[in-house]
Amino acid sequence: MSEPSAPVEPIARQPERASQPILQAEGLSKVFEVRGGDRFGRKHPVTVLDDISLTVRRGESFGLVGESGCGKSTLARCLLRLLELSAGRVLFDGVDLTTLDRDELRALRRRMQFVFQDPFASLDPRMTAGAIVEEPLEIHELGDQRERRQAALEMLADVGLTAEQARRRPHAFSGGQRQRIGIARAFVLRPEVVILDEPISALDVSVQAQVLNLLAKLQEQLGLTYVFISHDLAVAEYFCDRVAVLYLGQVMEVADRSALFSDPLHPYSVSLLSAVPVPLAGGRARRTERPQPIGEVGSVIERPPGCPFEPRCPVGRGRDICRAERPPITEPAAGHQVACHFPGEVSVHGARRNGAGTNAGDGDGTAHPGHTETAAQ
Amino acid sequence: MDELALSVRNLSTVYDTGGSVVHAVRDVSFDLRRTERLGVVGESGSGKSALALSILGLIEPPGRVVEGEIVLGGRDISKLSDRQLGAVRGKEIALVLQDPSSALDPVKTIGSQIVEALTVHEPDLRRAAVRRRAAELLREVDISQAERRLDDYPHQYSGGMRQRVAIAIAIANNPRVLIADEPTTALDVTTQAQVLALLDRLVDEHRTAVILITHNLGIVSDFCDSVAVMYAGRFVETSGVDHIFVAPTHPYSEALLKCVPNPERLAEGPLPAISGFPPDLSQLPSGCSFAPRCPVGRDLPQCHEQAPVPHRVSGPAGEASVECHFAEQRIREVAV
Amino acid sequence: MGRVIAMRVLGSVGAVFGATVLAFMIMRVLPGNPARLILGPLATSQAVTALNHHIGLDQPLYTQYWRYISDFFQGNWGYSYSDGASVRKLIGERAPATIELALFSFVITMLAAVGLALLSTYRHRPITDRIVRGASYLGFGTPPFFLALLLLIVFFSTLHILPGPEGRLGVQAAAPAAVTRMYTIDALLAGELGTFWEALKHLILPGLALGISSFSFLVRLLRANLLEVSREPFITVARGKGLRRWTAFRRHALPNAFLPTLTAGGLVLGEFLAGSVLIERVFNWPGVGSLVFDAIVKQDYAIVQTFILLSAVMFVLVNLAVDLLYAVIDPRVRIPTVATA
Repeated sequence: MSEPSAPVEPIARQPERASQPILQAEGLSKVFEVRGGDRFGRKHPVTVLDDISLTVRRGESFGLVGESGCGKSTLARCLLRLLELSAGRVLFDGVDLTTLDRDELRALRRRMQFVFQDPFASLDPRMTAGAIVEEPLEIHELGDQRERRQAALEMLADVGLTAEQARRRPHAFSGGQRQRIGIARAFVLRPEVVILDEPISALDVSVQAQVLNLLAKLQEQLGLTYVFISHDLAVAEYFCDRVAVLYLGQVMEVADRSALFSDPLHPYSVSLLSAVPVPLAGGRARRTERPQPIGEVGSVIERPPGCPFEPRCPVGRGRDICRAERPPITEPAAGHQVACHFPGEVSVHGARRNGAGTNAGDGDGTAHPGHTETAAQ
Repeated sequence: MDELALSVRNLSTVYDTGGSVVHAVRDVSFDLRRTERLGVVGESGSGKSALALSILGLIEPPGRVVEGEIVLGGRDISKLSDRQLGAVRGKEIALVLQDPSSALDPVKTIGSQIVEALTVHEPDLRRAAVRRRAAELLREVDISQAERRLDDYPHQYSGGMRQRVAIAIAIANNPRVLIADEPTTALDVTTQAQVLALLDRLVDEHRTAVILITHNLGIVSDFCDSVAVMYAGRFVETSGVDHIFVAPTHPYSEALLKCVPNPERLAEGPLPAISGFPPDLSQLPSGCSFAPRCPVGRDLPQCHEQAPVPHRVSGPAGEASVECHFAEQRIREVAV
Repeated sequence: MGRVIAMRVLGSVGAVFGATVLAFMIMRVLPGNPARLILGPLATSQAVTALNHHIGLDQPLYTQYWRYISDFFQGNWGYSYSDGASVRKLIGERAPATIELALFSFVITMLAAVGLALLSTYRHRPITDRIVRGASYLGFGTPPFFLALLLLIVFFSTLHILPGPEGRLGVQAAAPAAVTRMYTIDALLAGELGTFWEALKHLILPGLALGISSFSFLVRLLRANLLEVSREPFITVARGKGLRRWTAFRRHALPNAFLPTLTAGGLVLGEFLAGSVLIERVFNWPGVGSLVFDAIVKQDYAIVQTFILLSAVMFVLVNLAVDLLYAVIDPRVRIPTVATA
């Protein structure tokens, strides 16, 4: 937008601008002490995130997808150091967040914001919408009271809420409007990176579209970088430039949208993609043709020693190398990374045409220490 | 396929909350044939869950079914007493709910909850026999080590397994009709695919008719034979399953289908979101309830004044019944 | 589960320790030197010093504390300075009266709370519900001693159907042969139905007065729990199986609604057992409460201190019992979430 002659394109769709890294995870691990598992209820460490390295580039929408327990929400919190890392580091704009003290971190937080999944739980019911949006400005001591009020009202207007609505409390709003308030609260500080943790999964289909459009519009206006967490692959495919697929706290595959969805290399990505129901005629025939997913989502408490997906993998199940060795991350094509001993051996045959999908499944995506499910054998 | 399993006529349900009357289900009629799978699609507040409970006679005060006939296997069950309905529920018509974590009693064993579904209809069964049957049911829904796992409590099962148990309970007495209210919404995508496959197998084996309630059009495509789009308590479009994806005729059906993110249409700019909000079911607009949000009828007096009657139309993917003044005109337009 | 129990027991020990330290400290900082109190205002300061030395008040605090607590757990609770009797004997004599009243009040409170909570939530009964809620507000707002007086005026002075504030039995009646020294139970054991009836009549008014505020609390808690649980999907599922409304409610709603009420029940029982100073006073109930009331007036600190400690220990024990009960009856506590396959 600096060059008036250049055609204005949505930032999210401009890979050439999205080149410098803004957020990097290097060897990030997170270990929780979890109670339970045996009859004495002793605590034992559970590795929820295991040696994750990722790079988010300035101006892009980076997707984190996976099923429940894959650690995507924990990862998001580690990326902003809302949770302390157990190992590794996170670089924000070149600064190692793990070395910062509390005040330095607080100053940096202005540039990194979070939008939560649940628009009902994340808003204080006693505050008005205006006060909720104003609060971050107060915390960071920006402007005087009049300016703050003005900024909050403008931000609310940007997300489609009127000055009259700013005087209302959260219960007076619908789910979609509450999520707009949550977005306004995060964006009023003019952050550079916003982490969107399942921002639309609690909303109705018609409202989801409104909120997605709003997010895209704001990204374009403000030149933001998004980290978009979703269990819904169709939404991630629609919204993100690059996507990382997580399973049991490890990165399975990272690629550009088009590469990942048209040519997934990891068997887990394949089974995930083919399990998504698509709202097109003839779905039943398609579904019965494609292979059934094997087993249930595993648990980080009993993570297999080799590849975490091995017990469910149509390619590697029972293979010695997959059982014994964690696959190294390779880059078979530029920008397309995969952690698999046999990348590309299954493909999405027939099942997938254009990837239109709907919000299927609703795992909340966080790893639950101390509350983990047993997998069906 | 012709034998009728369930026939619902003019069903209306309201919630009388003192100050206002919420019209949750408004004059809904439909037929369900043996082995048919009807998908009921709608957003939250469209009345789809109230419809399920109304059919089962499980609407609790302050709600009540004000009108309607529910003919199940040739018998109108809408006028039965609660005691008489008890013999029908679970036996001839069964229910699976959305959230597997709250659909099972947390302080009772899995086994006892399945056993209960059997003994309530056959109180004279011997204990060992009931237990054997319960284990069989667990095996039928693919839970391994069934005998041992009967004595587990729900919190020892994963989400997917709990939903399998809920299905086992529902099919325990071989019901004629199964109503599944968002049965896979709380599950992971891969688990969802497995649960749909399980339902597939069971309803085929038992020749059960299914009403699958969902907000997810993809699941309708994956599972159903026919579909009803529900808006503000009414079926605004009913048809065979392909019609809705090929030629969605009601403007709401079309809008609902279009606002699902489709990467193919990235270049077309913002998603075509539906403007506005679903109507307040206690203050319904006169005329068509979708009119205030409708891209077609928003500015037409006819749509605001006159409630549309169902129009039968025929499109490229079969017939449909559409509650829109412009149904005939629209089917010609969409069927290019 | 072993761990759960161990943790609870350890926590209880900690709570008792805290209570003893608190009671000990409070008594040391309260105005009035015990030696001075015992010896009277005319005693010489040498005599006070000597007595201080004799009862160990000149020792370092931790020595005093250790003596104090080992004495307490050995049952050496000291002597009442006002009448010279051992505190243990005084409390022992009066405890059965308090325990009997507490248990009686607890039973009627629980029964009434459960009954009314059921009445106002089972099926949709807006009017009953409103009445029950109103009644429970009344219980909150009325001080128990005021209610006690009100009850006396209505049922004793006006209607003459229940005895007045004359303690556990009428003046002419003789106590039954002492077994538990709770008169109702002893009367039944001895087969003296007349005495039983008499003792029961004397329990009713103080029992009601003692229970009223806890009743209000319990009925509201139970009502909320029942309402919440009866909206749970598993109730709908149970009804969907074909269960009658009451059967589904009894089998699935009641156990789940009562489980969280255990804790509250334990608190209420603990509170009742600690006795009510005012209620016992109003009804001339010869229980621990009256004893403590007199002791406070006379600054008889051996009794007050023992009473504080005993109530604390009892409270802790009741709560420990509740926690252990959870571990036994709630499968979510008993069995770990992560099942070993």
